[in-house]
Amino acid sequence: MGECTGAATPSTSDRLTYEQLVVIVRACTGVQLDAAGLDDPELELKALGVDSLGLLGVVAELERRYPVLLGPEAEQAVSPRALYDLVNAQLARGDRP
Amino acid sequence: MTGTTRRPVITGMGALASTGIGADVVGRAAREGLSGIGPITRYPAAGTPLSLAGEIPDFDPLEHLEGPVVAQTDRFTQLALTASDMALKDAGLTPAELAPYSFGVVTASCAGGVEFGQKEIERLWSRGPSHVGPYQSIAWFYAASTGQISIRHGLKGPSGVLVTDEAGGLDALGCAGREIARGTAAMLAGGAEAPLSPFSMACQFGHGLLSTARDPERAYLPFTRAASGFVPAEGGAMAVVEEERAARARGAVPRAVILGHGTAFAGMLRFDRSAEALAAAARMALAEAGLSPAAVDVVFADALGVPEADAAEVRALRLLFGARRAEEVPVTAPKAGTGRAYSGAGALDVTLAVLSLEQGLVPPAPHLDGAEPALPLNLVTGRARPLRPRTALLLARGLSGSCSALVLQRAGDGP
Amino acid sequence: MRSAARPVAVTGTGVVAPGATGRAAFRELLAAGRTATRAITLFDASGFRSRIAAECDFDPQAAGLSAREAGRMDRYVQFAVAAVREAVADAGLDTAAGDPWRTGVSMGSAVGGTTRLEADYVVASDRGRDWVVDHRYVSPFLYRVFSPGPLAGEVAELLGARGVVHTVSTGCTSGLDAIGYAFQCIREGRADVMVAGAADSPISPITVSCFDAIRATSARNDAPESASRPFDRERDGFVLGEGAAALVLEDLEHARRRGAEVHCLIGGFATRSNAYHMTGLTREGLEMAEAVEQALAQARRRPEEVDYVNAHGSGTQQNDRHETAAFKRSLGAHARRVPVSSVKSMVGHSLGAIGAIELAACVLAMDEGMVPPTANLEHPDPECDLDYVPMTARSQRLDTVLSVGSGFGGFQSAVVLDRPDRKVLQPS
Repeated sequence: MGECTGAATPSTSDRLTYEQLVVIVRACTGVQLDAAGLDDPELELKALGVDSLGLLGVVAELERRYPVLLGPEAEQAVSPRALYDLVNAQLARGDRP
Repeated sequence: MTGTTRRPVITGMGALASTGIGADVVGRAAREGLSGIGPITRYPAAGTPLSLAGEIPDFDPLEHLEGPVVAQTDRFTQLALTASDMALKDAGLTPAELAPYSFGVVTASCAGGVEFGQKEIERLWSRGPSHVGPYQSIAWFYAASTGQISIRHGLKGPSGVLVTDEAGGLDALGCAGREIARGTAAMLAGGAEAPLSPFSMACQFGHGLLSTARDPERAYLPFTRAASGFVPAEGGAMAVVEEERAARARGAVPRAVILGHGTAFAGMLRFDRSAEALAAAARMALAEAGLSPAAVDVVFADALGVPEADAAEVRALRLLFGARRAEEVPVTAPKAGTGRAYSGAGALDVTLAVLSLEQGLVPPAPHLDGAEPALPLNLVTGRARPLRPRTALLLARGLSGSCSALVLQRAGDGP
Repeated sequence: MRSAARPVAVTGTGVVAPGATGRAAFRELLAAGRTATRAITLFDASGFRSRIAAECDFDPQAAGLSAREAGRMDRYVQFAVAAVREAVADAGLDTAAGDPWRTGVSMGSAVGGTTRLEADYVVASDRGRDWVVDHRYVSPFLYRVFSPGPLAGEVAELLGARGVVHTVSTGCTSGLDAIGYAFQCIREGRADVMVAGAADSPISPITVSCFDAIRATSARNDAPESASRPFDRERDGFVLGEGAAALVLEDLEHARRRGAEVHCLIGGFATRSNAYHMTGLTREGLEMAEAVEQALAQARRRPEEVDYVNAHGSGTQQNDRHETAAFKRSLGAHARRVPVSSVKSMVGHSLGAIGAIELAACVLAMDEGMVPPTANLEHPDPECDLDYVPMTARSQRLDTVLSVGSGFGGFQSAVVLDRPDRKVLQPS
């Protein structure tokens, strides 16, 4: 069960999908994103309504659901794409202690 | 408020109570003597001393506020934001049209974001520090509502948060009135509370003032022989307060004038010894209004519903009005039907008093018509009375000892 | 109501600060530039991101509280009572001799009784397992902790005050605002004497973890004493603190009639909101600048008359840059000449209490002719390019002092203190 109210049980796999990111962002921040087009690196979280506090909640939730340790780079991610890439790069390396 | 040409007037109101959502809905229920007191549904209350409360029926925050706002706020802030939206709409006021720094907000708070906080503490202790979310730092504290209202509407003027427990709703309106007198153009003022979480109620069993009755009709009966404590409630109200000339100049119709506010200290949990302080607060408010007690047409009482406290309030009325007038002046207590919404209670009374002045009808104290009076008062019960009041005196007492009074007057045609 | 505008005097101060219980110890700490941050001892903080805080070594009995008082009062209320007693003694105020209906109390607190509420909740909920707590494990006195209203109530009972009594809870500007409201009460004629101040004791698991969650606090756990470093480029957040301070404010005529020694006057107070973000600050600092300008205007002081600025100086990057911009905007060229320092570098950030503690520091600074330093300021942030009085206190006559605060919710407040015998500035 996720921390953020209303988050569905994660189907944790070896990859984060944009659909999963949409669910997590909504559960943590109340912001409803559209998975289509989220891979646009120009799309900014802030412009989508996810502020700095909301992003911290999303990062904490990602760390709880996936075997990743994201740190400051993710906490200051500008776009959903950047967040997505950070999580998937770590998952691909499989380097979480 | 006398001594100044800048009179504060109420131009818009928003309210949520156990009797409904919206100032007009709450007002209509009050006129009809309806009650919103019922069994607690927000948490399983069986097995606890408290089984009744005034819960707002069908309040879905997402019907009134955006998802991101709801995610980062406690219910008490959601209620205050909703009431503020309604008040601004009622006032027909667009904050951006006023000069920068000329619009502020003051709320009264007592319980804060207690439900949000309880959930986060639960996560911390059951799962660990990293499970506490980022919104805990902004959702539970007492200043959350003022901050969120300010951000939502771009209000950069003087803003504040007062904690005087149940007296706070009146104090917030008094504070707003003084800000108008000092030169601020407009204020959003009031209070809203959502204290119905299991732990926050458990914190209050010790003072023995909560009604443990199980019959909603018989649970909160102030000034009667059956008085057995108060029923807690959620809800509250926000009002737009403006300087009268500027309000009229922009075409707004003032709904009532804030003429005076006073406050004095009775001692903590000294409801039973509050007569002198309550009378002193009322005298201060009337002095500021430039009125004698004889000008008061109706009293909205604090009405704690505890025999010694009710007796002290009646003594305060005798000190203020003299023995005979104290038995004649119409006294009402609509909170006997809504429940006592902590800092929101005074703000709800302001809403109902303004409607009463506008409509010429004094709403009754629900449930009291069948109960035997304990004290000689001209208590309005049963149905609304067409008394055409011009001036209302509102009284409130807080658990930590503050006694407050507010004088409101029908707006009339202006200065 | 507005025509009254009576001058308001500060006739007493009292302090309970980390590393310094009492005014004399606090003066010594400020003069020495000593920092009071250490590893948290109030609870087991292992497992938390930030494990350091500026704690008070507070002994209720030594501070004059009876066992009964100490048992009834939450820690932050105990701090307040000790600070109030010291302030009242300093003012030589016989509260029984005055008119109780003209004596009031205005106390600030950001988080009130959270520490105690959390502790009792943990027991009653079986460590967070039971949402519907077992009320039989909740103290019957917890109604005194449930709201911060009893903070002002306890102080009023101590003094026998019967006038305006309220708690102010505007987050981290609570202390400045509580004193500002008290100032307004006297200035506008609603009271003759107000005891005003603030208290907080937030060093608890929930508060430490909530600031952890937003990375607001310093995680310099291996070197606590150097963790609070406002305006330093190596800062990494604020250090949580606790404590209380109280001032006795009086109508100046009232103070003179009873022959009281006047420390200084409160000249002006203003508060504004940024209406921007609950925690975020703009780079421009316009709203804090506006509060400063309004407080100076009320005090009838020009920017160049300010001899010392007590900064909010929390030691977060956004704050330090925000207020640097605000000072430049509100004080103009004088911003580069006037000394600016942060008391939080020494006693940490005690949320609502700190505004009162900082004003008490300003009163001491004026009494002593001393500018408190900014401790740990070894490597100035190039974007914070004012005179932040690094490391060492300075001797300097202070006639007009400005203190500012900034807090969650967007509150920006400013208070101006003045000497009653201040020099007359020649027109420049």
